[in-house]
Amino acid sequence: MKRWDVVFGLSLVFASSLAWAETGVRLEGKLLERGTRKPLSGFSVYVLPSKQKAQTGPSGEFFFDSVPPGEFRFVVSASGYRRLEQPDTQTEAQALAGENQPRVLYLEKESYQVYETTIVGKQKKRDDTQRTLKREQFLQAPGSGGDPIKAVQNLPGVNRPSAFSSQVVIQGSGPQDTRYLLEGHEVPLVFHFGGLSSVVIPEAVDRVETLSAGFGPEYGRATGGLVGVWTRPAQKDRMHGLAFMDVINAGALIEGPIGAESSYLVSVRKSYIGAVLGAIAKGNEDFNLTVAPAYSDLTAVFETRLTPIDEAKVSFFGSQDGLEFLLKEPVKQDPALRGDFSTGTAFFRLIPEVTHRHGANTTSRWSLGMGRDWIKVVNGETYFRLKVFNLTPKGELETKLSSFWTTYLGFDNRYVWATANFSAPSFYSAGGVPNPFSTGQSRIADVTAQSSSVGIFSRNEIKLPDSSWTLMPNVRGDYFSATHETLLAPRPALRYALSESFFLRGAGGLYYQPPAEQYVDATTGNPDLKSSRATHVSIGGEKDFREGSSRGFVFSSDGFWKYMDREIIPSSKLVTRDGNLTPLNFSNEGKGRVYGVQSELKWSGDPWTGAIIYTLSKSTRWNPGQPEYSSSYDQTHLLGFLGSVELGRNWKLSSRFRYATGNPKTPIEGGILDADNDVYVPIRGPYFSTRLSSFYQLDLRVDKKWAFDTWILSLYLDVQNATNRKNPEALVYAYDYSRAATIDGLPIIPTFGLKGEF
Amino acid sequence: MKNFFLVLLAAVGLLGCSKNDLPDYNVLGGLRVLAVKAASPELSPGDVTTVTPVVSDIAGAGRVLSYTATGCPDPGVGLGATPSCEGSPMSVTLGTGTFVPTAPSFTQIAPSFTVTIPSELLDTRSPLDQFNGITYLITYDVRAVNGEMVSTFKRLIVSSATSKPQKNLNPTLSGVLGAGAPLVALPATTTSLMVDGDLSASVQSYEVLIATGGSKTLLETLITTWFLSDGGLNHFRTVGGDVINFTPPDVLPTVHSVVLVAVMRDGRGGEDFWIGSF
Repeated sequence: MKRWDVVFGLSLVFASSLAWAETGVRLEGKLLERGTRKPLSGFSVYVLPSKQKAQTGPSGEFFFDSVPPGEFRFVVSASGYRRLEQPDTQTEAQALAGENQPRVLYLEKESYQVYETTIVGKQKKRDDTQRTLKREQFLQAPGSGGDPIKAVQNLPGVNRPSAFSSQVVIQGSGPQDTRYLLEGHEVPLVFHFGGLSSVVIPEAVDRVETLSAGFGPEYGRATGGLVGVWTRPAQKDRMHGLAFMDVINAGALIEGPIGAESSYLVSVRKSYIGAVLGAIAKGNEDFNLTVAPAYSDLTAVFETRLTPIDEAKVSFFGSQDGLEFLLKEPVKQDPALRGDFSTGTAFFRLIPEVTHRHGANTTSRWSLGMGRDWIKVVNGETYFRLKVFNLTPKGELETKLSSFWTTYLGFDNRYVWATANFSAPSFYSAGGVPNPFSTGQSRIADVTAQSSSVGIFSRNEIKLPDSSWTLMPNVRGDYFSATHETLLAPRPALRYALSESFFLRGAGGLYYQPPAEQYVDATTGNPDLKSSRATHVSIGGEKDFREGSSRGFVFSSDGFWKYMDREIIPSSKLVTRDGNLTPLNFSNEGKGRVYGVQSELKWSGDPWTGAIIYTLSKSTRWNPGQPEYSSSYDQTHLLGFLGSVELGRNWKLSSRFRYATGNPKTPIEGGILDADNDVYVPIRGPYFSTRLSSFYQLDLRVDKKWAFDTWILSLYLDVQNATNRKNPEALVYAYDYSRAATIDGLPIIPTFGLKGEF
Repeated sequence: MKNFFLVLLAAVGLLGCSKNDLPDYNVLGGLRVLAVKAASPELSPGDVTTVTPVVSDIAGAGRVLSYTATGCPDPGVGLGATPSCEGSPMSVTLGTGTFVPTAPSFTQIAPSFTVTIPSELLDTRSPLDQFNGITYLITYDVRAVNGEMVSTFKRLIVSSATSKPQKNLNPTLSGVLGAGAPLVALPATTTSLMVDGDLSASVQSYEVLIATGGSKTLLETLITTWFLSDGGLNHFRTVGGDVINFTPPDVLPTVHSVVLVAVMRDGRGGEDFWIGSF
């Protein structure tokens, strides 16, 4: 009897539910991620108390056939997201009239701080010397203000730059031996005002890569390394936008689809650091800031699918900066520096690129960089104006010849048409100590030059069947019209896989770098100069202890050795040319070597990520008649600790600690008065035979995000040199070099930035 | 060239704005050479000129100084060579001797010496070098009895007598004006100073051949350096007829006079000077 009671009761409940259902109406909606409005597909949406369930479709859409009138709640619970309980109501009248509006539910992620601190991206690398920083890594790297190229300093093998500079020094090579590439095409400079900010807008960048000792044959004309910046593909689901501002600049980015096959991304940035500096400089006794320093940048990308097998991308980069000031009296140590001072640089690059898939095994990529560079520096009667037109065609054919052999055959050319007008003293610096400008030999010239650099390369990846060895017999050939040289550069590499997560690697070869146009010009340089040459060897390995999981350590270590010869050094010799005694100006007599070991131990986890980076190296140079000496880029120890922790509620704390051996300095033993110019010429002791004190710095960064339904607000506070340590960065001398005083680096500098995105 | 201007930019920043306790350039005290004036700053091969140094040794208070002057073809100082005649087969001693700076200024014209430009100096030089000129180096070392030594160099421009007969001349600094009148006594209060003389007559226009063809006509800029032993100046270099403010010392020195020296240069080796002792 009791059993019949239960059956009767259940029947009553069922009948009652059925009655509600019969009076309910269809309810539709969408489930989107809060802040990003990303459709959430495959999620379960519940309606309570009627206990109904729906599954979201590809666009996050869901529906309930019959939701009874009255108060109810949407409930969504999913891993990685905060539980959503959203009360709702529909009246009986609405239900009967069918007036229900589609609902939009916003599900909040548990954390929007998905970024790591400077962890090398795990992606398929063609070149084993490549190190990559992804956008989410450099944007939140402490101490670099979100700048992609400044963040490169956090990579192993990258030296700390010299004082007040952000130039990239790769494995002890000079910054002039490193090429900067945008979308694989060379640009003249990557920083505004020597390091204030890079010329690319970080929000438009996908990744920044460095290539170091032993890099492959695709790139040439550099003996040190390369830094490449690659734009990111535009988001195609809808129109997105963001705006950002910090203490030195502000900008905006917009991106979205154009039809089904195309997309666009446009970003602009403009600085207002000039207004800040102008206020500081007001009333300065030494100079008037007549035009405050300012820069602006534009990055735009258009991508489209031309046919099912053809994709096209057009990138545009534009950048300009300038400043002017008036020196109220000639600079104390050098009267050549006086009066109006103005500087300005600008460049643009238009880079169309086409990728064509010839078949399952063959793909070709073609691109053409076109652009102009303008550089202007004027100080009184001294001036330098340069205009350059660049054409950089590149192409590559990738063919999978067999299951174990892939080959890449391509070209990498550069054509330059330049005009330079200058009236300036020849500039001499040795041992890192410059002579006064006044003492230099005056030169006036209007130069027109053109040069061609033609490079072809062949990369081969041969994974030996039934073997752990991958052989890469690579080679590059170059022709440089400036030096009339045809050069062959073998660059073999190999890889040995001990397991899926543990491999050893080796690479080496020859590298040539043609002299810049002014070095081979007959009036300012030596037309008989040859290209600088370097021989690289790199041997290392990497072990991924994560073994497929998302938590754990990755360890990598590489030894490197570079021998440089035919380095270009200044010369005061006289030679007979065309029957006349003429200054040689420059010679190829410089030599140098760099060797060391760079290691990195990374930890990936939740909520902690981190890395320990250590580089031990020695970088030396020598000139004829001189003993071998430390180069100005010789930093014996470089140690970095990077870490970040997610604190919950979208707070994140990141830090970077750096230690570096003090930069080498050349002692100065005295000065000789140049009575014609009223300046003292330094008498140098043994080059780079002393050092500044060691460098320590702690940088901290706090990030906070607020996710609203349709947009996200981000705020960061970046504190550089959090302990306010006084790191000696340079020496300033008495007028006669009889005494010196140190100039400390930047003090504690807190900066903040805001970003809103939808 | 880009490096040159990057360093120039850094130098402006570092040198122009740095504050430290390093000695001021224009404050006289120890042994210094303030000027080395050649009667003719630009010559032709075979020409002879007289060179006159100005030496200050206030702290030395009248000690004996010895000097050595040497000449040789410029080894390429403008291109980075050490300004020295050591090792040059054409090195010649131009003068040696001793002198004693006299009270109360201990700042004075030192013994002069003569220079003869080698007649073959322009042989095998290009027409451009013959017109624009190359340089002949003079080194001048002054040594005190305690071993303290200061070294100075000067470059005489040597150009062709035929292709460039019009040579550079020294500017003329006839005196110093204090508040618009010739400065003959130490001002009691802060006073504006400027160089006296017909500056427009001193400023020469000159032609230079350009290596890539053609020529340019340029105008000299006269820059005056102001040295003083006591008191203060708001600047220590002036361009053309610019004015600076001199503030006299609160307490006058007892062992030497207040010394004020102005040295005017044209940027091409031409110079003139004025020494005031109050």
